[in-house]
Amino acid sequence: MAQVWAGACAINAWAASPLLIGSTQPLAFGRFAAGPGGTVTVSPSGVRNSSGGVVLVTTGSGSVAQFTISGDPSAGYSISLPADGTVQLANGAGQGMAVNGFSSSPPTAGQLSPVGGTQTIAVGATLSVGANQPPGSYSTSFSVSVDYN
Amino acid sequence: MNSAKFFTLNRRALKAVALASTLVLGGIGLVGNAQAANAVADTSAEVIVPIAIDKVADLSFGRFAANPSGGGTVIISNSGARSFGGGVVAAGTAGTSSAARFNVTGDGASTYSISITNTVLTHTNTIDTMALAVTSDLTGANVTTGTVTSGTLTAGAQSIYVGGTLTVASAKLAGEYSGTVTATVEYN
Repeated sequence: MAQVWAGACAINAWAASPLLIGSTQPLAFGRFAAGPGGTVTVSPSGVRNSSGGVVLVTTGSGSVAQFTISGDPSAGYSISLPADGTVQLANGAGQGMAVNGFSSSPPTAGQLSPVGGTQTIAVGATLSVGANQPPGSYSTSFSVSVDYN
Repeated sequence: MNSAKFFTLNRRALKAVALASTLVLGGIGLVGNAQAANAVADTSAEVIVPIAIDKVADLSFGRFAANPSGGGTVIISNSGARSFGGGVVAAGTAGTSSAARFNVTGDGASTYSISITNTVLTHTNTIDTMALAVTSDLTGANVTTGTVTSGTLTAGAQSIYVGGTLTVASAKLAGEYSGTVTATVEYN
């Protein structure tokens, strides 16, 4: 029995370095004119694009979300992003825009650095803009979770 | 006797192992819950007022006559001042000449591109034409060259002034010629 408990102790030691994640940069779709509507996409590489009649404005170029993960050196972990239909930007006056198609780099799993045990992940998504979407600032928050494999 | 006792011990050992396995599995479950980490990030977008452009003054060359021995030009500066080149002269009551003006409205201090195309004026007979090369600026200066290709709104507004050079052939058919100058603006 003593030997068996030694195995359990080894698992507790592995748990000594908790997995941490912190948001270091927001996901911003920047400034744009809605026109007849369309989408604004920020890719995990930080490139902003529009489709449909949405006109992007260079003043207010947007940004990709960034998170810093830390934990056990070289440990693998999984990344969970918001599901479609769960994130909606709102302007406080009853109008909203859906944020879907979350994607990250690395995509679904990452590995912490061999030295220091950290990694930065970037998260992008696609914003759906309605025709004649009322001008104004829209915002919300979303959550990303990570777990050791 | 001895061998039977040994067997009993063995069974106890097996039981102990099984129990320990359950504990270990429970331990893994706990660790998994404790290790999931979650972070919340802000996300935002800003929808701006659409850019719009309205004509507030037409580009008019007034009345003039072309010398039968040689054509020339009628020039309207961006401020609306008229001048002539070659064998073209003002005719009778000069008529109203003016530069075109467009008002652009949109968001704050946004920058935008401007495109104004050259065109032709067509006689009311729909056959005879005169070519128009446009000039433009953002101040309505008394200049007759150059075009502006970008602007910056101030408090969401700016004006574009358009003049041009009309090429008049000699012995041009008398009458009224008209056309359309289209100015296109787009956020950039």
